[in-house]
Amino acid sequence: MPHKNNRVNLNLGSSSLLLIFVVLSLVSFAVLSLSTALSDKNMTEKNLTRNIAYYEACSNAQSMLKEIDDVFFDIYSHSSDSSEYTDSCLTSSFSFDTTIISFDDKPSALSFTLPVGDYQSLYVVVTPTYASSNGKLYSIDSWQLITTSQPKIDFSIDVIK
Amino acid sequence: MRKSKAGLFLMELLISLLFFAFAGAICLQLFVGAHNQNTSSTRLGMVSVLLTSYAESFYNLDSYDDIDGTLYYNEHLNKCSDIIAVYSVEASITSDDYYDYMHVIIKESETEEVLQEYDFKKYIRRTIDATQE
Repeated sequence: MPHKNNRVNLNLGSSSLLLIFVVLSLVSFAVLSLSTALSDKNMTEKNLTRNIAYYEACSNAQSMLKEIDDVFFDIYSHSSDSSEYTDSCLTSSFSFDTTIISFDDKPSALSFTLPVGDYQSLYVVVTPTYASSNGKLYSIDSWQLITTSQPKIDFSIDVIK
Repeated sequence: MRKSKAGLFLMELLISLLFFAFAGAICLQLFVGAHNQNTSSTRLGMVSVLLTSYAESFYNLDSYDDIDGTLYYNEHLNKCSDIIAVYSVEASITSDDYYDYMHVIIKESETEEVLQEYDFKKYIRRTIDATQE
């Protein structure tokens, strides 16, 4: 019966090779998970900042609505009919910039914008209403975010030249 | 006479283990850092959702009964008791002749750390009684 060799053949350097592979894998996963977590946090922070900017604009818009309401009420007190009220409302001046919006070539609403961040604005459209059923002097027909300029997206990749 | 390589192999193994321990410690720090960033990110996300939720309720509802006072939320942002709460939101609503105001403080329930604080304002629109004009 031949003698069976039970000794494990341990090559010099095999453990180092295994170590290099394991450490490289470990470092890769660690760096990837950290970079993902950091970019996630960055994204969430941007989202929160944008939300706060939007509600800041909403709060400022409320002050503008008050001014509009005051002016419209003054006009309403001196107006005898709907067309006189609407015409006066649309031609009145405010402390902020407004734009007259026309439907079917007839001026019928006022709009104003407030900046929300660098690329967006809050766009509000207000239509004067004379003796409306709900007793309000105007209706808010639009309250939306619009994009005012295209964001410059950085597609560059940092590489060593 | 044949020379044994066992000693050399053992030496290599020891050096490898030492290096692995060193690299492992650094990687562990990176993993822990990633976990902490992730926790912080989740918390910020929840704050954003709570803030939006309160703001939309404030601007769109006529009655503030559902949001006024201190409310407690669990990790899924469901309302819960203060004992198991993760977040608490204090909303105080005041009014003057022209505006309704809401002051919101979002806190981490356990540590009482203030995560976000914000003031909202809503104009109370004038109502005309057309029948009396």
